[in-house]
Amino acid sequence: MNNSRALLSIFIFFVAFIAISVRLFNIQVRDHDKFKYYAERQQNRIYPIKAERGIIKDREGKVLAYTKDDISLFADTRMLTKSRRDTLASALSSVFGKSKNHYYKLFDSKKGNVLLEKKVSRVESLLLSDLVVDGFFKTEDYTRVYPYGKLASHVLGFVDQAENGATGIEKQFNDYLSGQDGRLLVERDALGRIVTVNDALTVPALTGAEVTLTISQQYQSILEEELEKGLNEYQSNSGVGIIMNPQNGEILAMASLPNYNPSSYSQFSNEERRNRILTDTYEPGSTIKGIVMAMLMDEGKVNPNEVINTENGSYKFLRTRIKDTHAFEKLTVQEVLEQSSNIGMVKLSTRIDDNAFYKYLRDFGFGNTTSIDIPGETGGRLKKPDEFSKYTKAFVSHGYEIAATPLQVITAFSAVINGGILYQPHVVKKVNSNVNNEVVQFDSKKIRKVISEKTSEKMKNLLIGVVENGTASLARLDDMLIGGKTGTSQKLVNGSYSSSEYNSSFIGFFPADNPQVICLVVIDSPKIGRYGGRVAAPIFKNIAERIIESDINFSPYRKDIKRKNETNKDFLIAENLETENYVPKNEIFITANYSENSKEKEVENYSRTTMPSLYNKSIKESITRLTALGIKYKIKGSGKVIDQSIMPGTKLKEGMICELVCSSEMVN
Amino acid sequence: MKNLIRAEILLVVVLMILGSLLVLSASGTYSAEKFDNLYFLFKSHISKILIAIALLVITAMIPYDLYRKYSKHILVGTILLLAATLIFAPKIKGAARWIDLWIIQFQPSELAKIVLLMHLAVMIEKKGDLIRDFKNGFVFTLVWVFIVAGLILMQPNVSTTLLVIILSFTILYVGGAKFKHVLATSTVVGGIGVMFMMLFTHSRERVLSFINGAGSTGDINIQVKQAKIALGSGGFFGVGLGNSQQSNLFLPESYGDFIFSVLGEELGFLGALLVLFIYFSVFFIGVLIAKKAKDPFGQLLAYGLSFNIILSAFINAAVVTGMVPTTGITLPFISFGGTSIIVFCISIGLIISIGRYSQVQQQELIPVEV
Repeated sequence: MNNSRALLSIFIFFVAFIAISVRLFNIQVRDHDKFKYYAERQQNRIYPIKAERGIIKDREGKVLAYTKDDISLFADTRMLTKSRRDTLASALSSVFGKSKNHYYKLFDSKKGNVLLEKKVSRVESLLLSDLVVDGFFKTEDYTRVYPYGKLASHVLGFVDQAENGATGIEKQFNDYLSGQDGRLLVERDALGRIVTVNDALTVPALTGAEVTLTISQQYQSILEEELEKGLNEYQSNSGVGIIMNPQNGEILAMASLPNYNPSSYSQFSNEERRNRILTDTYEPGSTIKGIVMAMLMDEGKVNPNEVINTENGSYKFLRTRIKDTHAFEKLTVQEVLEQSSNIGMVKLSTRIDDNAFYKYLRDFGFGNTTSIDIPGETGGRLKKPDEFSKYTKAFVSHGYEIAATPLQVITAFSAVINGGILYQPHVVKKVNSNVNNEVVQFDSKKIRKVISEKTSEKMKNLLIGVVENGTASLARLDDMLIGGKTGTSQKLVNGSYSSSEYNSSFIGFFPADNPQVICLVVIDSPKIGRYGGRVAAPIFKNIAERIIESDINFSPYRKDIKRKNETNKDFLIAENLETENYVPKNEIFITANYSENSKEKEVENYSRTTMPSLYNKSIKESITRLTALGIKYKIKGSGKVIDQSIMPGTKLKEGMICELVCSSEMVN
Repeated sequence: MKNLIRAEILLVVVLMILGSLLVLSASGTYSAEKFDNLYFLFKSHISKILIAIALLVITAMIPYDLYRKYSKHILVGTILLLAATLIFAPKIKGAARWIDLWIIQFQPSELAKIVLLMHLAVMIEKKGDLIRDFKNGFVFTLVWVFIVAGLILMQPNVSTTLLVIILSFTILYVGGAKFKHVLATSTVVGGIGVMFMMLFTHSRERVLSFINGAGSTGDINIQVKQAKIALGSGGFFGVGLGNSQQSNLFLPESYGDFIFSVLGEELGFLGALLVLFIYFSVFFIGVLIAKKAKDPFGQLLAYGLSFNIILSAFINAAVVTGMVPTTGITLPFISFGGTSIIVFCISIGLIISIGRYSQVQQQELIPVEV
């Protein structure tokens, strides 16, 4: 052996040793992080464990939404041997009654995971509990269930396919409801099969929180049923209703029709899924008179007994003409509200300056969102003092030139009658979280004091008068005194006020002396009735009656009420509504550009103490006059009045009954 | 000498124990998947290790002088076996390399390497200085080299052929042949070798995929890529013995030719380096034993066998680390594979025999000197 040559080979191998070592160092030490990342990416897999979504309950604990954890069956066809396929196919076909071939086809359809049965029932999955085959597995497949169907759909909202809240409470409280997903960290082999489960890094899923609403399922179904009935009766396509506790801002029911079923939300249009209470603004019309009256009273600008000249129903204000449907020579301030006199309100509104007027409306929450705990709210529109025209206060005071959501109106109105405090409306009472066992209480939140308690007390009495003596007599209850205000506003259609489309609304509260419930009903463009007192008030009455009947808390307040004037079923109320002459120019609000040559309605002068002639008048007009005079009446026939039992000019006494004979054929 | 033998045995035993553990870790998932038994391949490996150890002990006992007499016969027998492999053996992965011998499958080319080595050593000893003469010495050795290399090439098995040629020329060079003869012949043979390499699909693919690198996505590249991921994820200290993730079918044949990457993954840079150092030490000790051998045959045989071990080991490590194209060369004493472990154990047996019988003579000489 040649020693030097052997030594040379040793040297060469030593060099090779160094070279390989350097190479190893580069791969193993220098690039360790990179390769470790590659390795973990292909070896480890985190399987999320979907947390069960929390339930939503009403204030009494009735479940309004819950999650059903169905089971879906899968097979990994790569792991299915011939015998496993046979076992699986025969077991499944015996439970689900499908042919074995159906399953063989599924096994052959794809390499990898194949869905065999989607969302099988508990019973079916129990039948399969003994079936253990490698490559066959079950996965929890959640379904959101709304046991009451469409009930409170706009409050609850719905969840998308990934179980994330898309609207309503489901969206607003998604973080609470969705709980905490767990994770299963597994190490896989190259075939994707689980080798080991890493317990240290595996986290179990935590069920989502339980959300308790202020909504009462009972109130909600009453509201929805009566609203639905009302829409049919008065032939309207949409309407909204809100029931709230004026003393703390808790929403007891909230309905927007048409509504939808959250569990099949995709089958409904956006129109049906929209929560009009929050998204749609309207001009509140006469309901706002209660609010404007409250501010005037709070400022000490008016006295309920003060007499206002109401100009016999037609009044030229600056360059426009304000008209009342009921024409009165004079009305007290109380009567201005009761008869919903536009002229009276316009005159009174000049007594307050622009800034104070704006500040009050602002304080009542107009022009701002209410910050309710449901997403999607709009803030409406309130003009700022520097945007005011000479007409603004006049028009706002009877419900135009201001846009508000129904929610804003009811929230503001609550402040008028609850002692003057504006509460933040809310629908969630509390949240019981499973994640950290905390209970989050959502107490009522006072936003500000708007008017004094004294003013509020006076306003309550005025509003009781509206129902007892004024335009809202169809809302009267037999056994409880209520207060409220009607409203009818022409709808803006294509930039001008429509003479045929109206928002008819009524807002009422009871028990009148200690309001526990305030309820707003707004009906959009009823084909029958039109007026708030004619359409919305009776719907309110039905809702109120059923609530008082069903809720034991109201029984102490129930008492028989003796009234001088009984309402008649056919009683029609025409309230102040003569805005058809206001022609706005491409503006959402009326500006000072009104036609002065508008056709004026003939208004007869009549005294409040002698019987007027009702000959050839419509029944509606006749009743309006008789009501205003406090005369009871009976009507025979239909059409126009051809005869009256109390002759014109007769001095009127209390308790007189006038019988009217009507005919649809004109008598000359 | 005694200590050298002890050290050599100790190192080889360490490698075999480590190899068994790595085979168990690396083959478990595959065994469970393919044979429904986690220990299937491990058991097979252990049984072959036991056979190999038995053969090691037997060869260590037999005086190596015996082979001098019969080296030609053994070589002729091995050549016949190679020829029989070509004719009878079933083709596995496009190559006929295995032959069913007795109870186990056997790869005659592995055996051919050491048998040829042995005969070349005998010839070099016989020719003496004549080996420096091309016509009268060197050329005779070439005949055997070409017969063996040609038969292995025809299987086809290009990498083992190249290994046989490198081995042969190294032993001729170290044995005293003229450098220009070795260089000239190896250049010609190398040229022919490269030609053949490009002729066979499997080797061409390997070379091309090595040149093209990460761009191609063939099976071979996946193997090297996964081997690198295994090595790289091991880091400095490794993930621990038995904790290999890459052997969960990500790395094809992780228990065979690519077991070095599992070693790197489980024992880290430190372990890989240590094992490479053990191979270097096995070679170094082998060379020391060779140096002390009593005759040129013993010297050249011990050197050649040691050379074969370290060459296989380093080529294997170079393949796994992506330094050279993929070959079918195993990691001595560690890789799963019956023929490999048996042939390498026989090699160690022969080295020990050379050491023992040289030692005996030295001991006999000592009293005479004194």
